[in-house]
Amino acid sequence: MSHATSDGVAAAHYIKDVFPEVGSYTGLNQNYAFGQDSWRDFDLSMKVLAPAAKASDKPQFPKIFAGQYGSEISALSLDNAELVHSSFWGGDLEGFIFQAGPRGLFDNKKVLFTVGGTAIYRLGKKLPDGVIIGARGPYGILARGVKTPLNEWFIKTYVDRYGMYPADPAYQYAQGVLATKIAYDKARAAAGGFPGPDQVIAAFKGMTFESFSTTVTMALADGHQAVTENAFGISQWNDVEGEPGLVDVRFYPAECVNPPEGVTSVDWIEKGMQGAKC
Amino acid sequence: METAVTTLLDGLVFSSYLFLVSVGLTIIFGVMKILNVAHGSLYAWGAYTSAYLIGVWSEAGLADAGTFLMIAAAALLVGCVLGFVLERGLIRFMYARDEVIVVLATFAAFLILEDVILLVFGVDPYFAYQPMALLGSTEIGGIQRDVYSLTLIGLAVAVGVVLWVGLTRTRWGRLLTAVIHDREVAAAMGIDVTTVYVVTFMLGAVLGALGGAYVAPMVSVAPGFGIEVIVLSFAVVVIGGMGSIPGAAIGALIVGIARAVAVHQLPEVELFVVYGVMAVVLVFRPQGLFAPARARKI
Repeated sequence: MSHATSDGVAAAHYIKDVFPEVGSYTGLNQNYAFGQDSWRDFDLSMKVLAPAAKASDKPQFPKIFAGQYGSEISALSLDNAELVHSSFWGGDLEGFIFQAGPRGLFDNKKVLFTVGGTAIYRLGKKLPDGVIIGARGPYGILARGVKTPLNEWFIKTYVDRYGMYPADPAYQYAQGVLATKIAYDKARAAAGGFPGPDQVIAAFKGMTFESFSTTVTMALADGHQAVTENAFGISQWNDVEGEPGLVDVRFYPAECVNPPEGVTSVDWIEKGMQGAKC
Repeated sequence: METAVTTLLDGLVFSSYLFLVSVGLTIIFGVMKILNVAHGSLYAWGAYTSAYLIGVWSEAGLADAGTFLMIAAAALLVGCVLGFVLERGLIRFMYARDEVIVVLATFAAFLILEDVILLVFGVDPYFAYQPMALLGSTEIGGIQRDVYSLTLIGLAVAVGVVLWVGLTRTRWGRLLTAVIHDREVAAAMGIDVTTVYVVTFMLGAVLGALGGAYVAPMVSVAPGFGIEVIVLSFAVVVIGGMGSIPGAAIGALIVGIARAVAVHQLPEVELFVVYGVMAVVLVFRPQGLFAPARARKI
């Protein structure tokens, strides 16, 4: 999967494309590297893609695993910002949804979760409609509509085994296993026998392969960091199927949401995302 | 004005939560001089058991109001069973030991209990939203408030009053006070110190479990749930003075209000403010604000 910059840039693109009227935004991110970086990348991307939108001067950074977000929800409710960006995940994300729902936050603000894919299947109807959902790439519920044989096989196999649809981490870890298999096969063909670690690393370098729901390219960090496209959608309970669903799903190519090789994320975004192919 | 009201209310809710989870810790320390690191596990076990029982109750199609009974049942069950087992199986062997050994032993118990949680409840988060959904929400200070979290204030006040009356107005409270002042003299006067210790530890355990059980409907109960709370509880207890119930209340109020002010005015320092307050208090009163006076032995 891509690094965190892809989430922030794709989220800003999605806001620009689907909610161009948004005039202000704030954030709720855990106070550690991922949370800080997520807010930084989203904030910088909004300044480039939606310069008219104003950032709040009080984005929230609660302690990771704090569990209780009553004060933060109050602060977000009093903030005039129309949109709340959050990279919350796991138990923190679910706890926040439970606490924010009764307090009307989802009715009064647009809320965007960059790692929301893990919650949508687990919470079902308890996740309100209208929440903007990302899954750290085209995975989980965002990949339900990807009609490739490999994706359809993966979903069926997972459902048969676990009785539920695969969420984003299931895709990401399976993708890691698949990448390793492909690299080993490639290295073995080149070595004419079982390859050593250096040969496998060399096989990974610059590799492109078709994964379950997307194309993966080892494009950054001298060919050792993967990039993929990214995607967002809006939660909407599917009454017909009786299961969670997304509407208005949009995909953004890897070249649109990732910096080019040799350029840092901050430099790339601040200089207007030069070279981005959207 | 809206911000001031909201900040105060946020501070009171968080203070109430802090008081509930730290008062058991301070009672155990006050009576037994045991710094119980496993308190975080009691909180986590209370939360998991509460979420589990609420789930069972709701799946049986019973009235949501009954889920409050499940919260109480979880606190009593976990506190009495785990409290008894920990005191009889571990803590009683620690009374004559150095405080560092006690901390290490209870930390070991904490790690074991955390792993047992994974074995019993699995790794997926639990949620038990029914009590919170039942009470709905109301508007205060211009924003929506869920009623359930407001009830934390009432629960904390009730627990504080019951403990105060119990300690100052009952025979059992006087026995406890005697043991707090001097264990040996209390024993010489005929007080069954062993029973006092067991009951006190179980009471502290029930309070720890009650904190977790009551918070469970507001959060996603996940592995590692008890780690965060033990750090916060220590901060509260140290600020208030170890072993002091009024100290725990004041410590919780100071930390809760300071944190709420930080969230609303300067979110960047939210993490720092709890420990910043603790450091300032300890600079001026190393024993904490309300540490009980100690009789000097000759």
